[in-house]
Amino acid sequence: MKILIAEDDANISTIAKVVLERVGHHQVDVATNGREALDKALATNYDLLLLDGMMPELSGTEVCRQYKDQCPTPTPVIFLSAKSTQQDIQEFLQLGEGYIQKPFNPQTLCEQIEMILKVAS
Amino acid sequence: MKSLRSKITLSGTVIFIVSAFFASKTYEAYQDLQQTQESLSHNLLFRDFVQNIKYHDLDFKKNQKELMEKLRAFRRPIVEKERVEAVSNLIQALNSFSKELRQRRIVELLEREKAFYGLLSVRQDYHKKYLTYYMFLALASPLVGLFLFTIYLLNSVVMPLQKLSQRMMDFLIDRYTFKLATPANNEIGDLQRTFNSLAQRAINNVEELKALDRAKSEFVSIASHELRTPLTSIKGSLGLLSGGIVGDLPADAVGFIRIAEQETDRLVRLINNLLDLAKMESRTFKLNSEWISVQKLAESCLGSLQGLAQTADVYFAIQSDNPTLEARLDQDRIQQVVTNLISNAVKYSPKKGTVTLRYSIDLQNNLEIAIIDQGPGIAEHDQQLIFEKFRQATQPESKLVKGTGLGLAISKALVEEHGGHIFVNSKLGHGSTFSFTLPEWRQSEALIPQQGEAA
Repeated sequence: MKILIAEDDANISTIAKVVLERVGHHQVDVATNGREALDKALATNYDLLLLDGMMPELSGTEVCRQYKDQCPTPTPVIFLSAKSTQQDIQEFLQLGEGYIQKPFNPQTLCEQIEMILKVAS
Repeated sequence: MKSLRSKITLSGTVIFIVSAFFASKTYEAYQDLQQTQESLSHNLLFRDFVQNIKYHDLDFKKNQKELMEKLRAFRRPIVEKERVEAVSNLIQALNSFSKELRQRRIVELLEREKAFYGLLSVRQDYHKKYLTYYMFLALASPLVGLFLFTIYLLNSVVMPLQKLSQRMMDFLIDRYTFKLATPANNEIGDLQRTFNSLAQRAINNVEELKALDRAKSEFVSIASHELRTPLTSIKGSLGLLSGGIVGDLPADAVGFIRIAEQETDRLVRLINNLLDLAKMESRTFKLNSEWISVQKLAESCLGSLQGLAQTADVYFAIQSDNPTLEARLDQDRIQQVVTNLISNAVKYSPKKGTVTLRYSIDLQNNLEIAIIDQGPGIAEHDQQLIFEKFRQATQPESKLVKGTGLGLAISKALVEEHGGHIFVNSKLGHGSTFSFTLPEWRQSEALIPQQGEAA
């Protein structure tokens, strides 16, 4: 799968990239802010977007909203966020296909993604 | 004159003075009438008396004798029988003349008295008329006064009070009509002004509280983000190392990384618990109640802890005399409570022990869920303590999962949010039973208070 990770924290994006590349053998692109993530998502055909909830320029939810508005055939979106309030989770689940709570377990991250995608399709 | 007090005092005094004035007038008229009537009766009596005066009542003969004796003594030398007779005749003539005169005077007197009687009757009629008139006024003036006074009281006291109480009621249901009203310039106006400022202050306080609550929610949200972000990197890095994703490590290093991972997980749990507690303590916490099968809830809780039970070599059992029971509750929250109690029970259970989940409807019609273990039990002095934050009685021997010391505090808060109670029944050496009651398990949505927004 071709996956875009949008994450402003370089450590986290590095770890997620390594996990997805080595465990799931996916092809991974990284964006470090919301604007970049939206541009990349619209320019390239990814199979999955992993969006952080809170990012500079544009928040993850805003990226998702604009992406789904502008892209004729949007790809699934999973939020990867430290936010855990009912309100936030509801918003994530309304906008995207799923939500993974930070801190995530690197060993089960790929399984979690597969599960969400299976449920979504 | 602005105050109701002076107005009411004045009108009361005016009513009193007017009534008293007419009452005194009535009394005067009554006295006059009585006097006239007395005069009338005197007049009648006098006329009667005068009419009954008879001529023979007067002792003329005695007068005659006295007169003759006086005459004799005076004219002794010339006393003659004829002369005496002449004088006697004269006296008789005088007497008869005086009788006539007397009669004429009596008639005159009676006529005068009769005329006087007529005059008195006119006066009596006049007094009677005035007595009726004043009596009417004396009775009517307090009645009319009271009537007007009552209307005045209704209009300027009762009605404004009613309006004010309506505004207070409105305020209770968050309709701020008190802002529209212009207070009158009297005591009730003062009351209204006081209420207005109280209401304004209450609103300000509520706004302040809301702002504080928002600030707290914001703090919780930011803190959760800021704490979890570095933990994500730590946990991620440790996971990469321990999972061998970035290459093999020496055996010793794997052990230490495992320790770091376990403690990271504990830190994550602690943060989650703290945030839960913070959320529950702020008023933004909201229950998501729905109807669910209690049996399914129990099975799902036990199912999620099956792994832990197997590691600890502990069995699970469910007891109920009503397996089809359905209850209205926040599934996630109650599951959190039950899971917490069960994992505690497992942690303290001996090998091959059984943890029993029992649910039933108690005598007070509460849904009661109990978790029974065969562990060491809890000393009596520890039994209240364990529900407080960061308190644990004794560490479990198994040390499968280190507790954060917040589990029971959160469970207690969650159960209380449902309107219930949580308590423990235990004796050292005889295991422990943690039970909680849910009194509102049958209530419809409208009856469960839901305040604030979701945090």
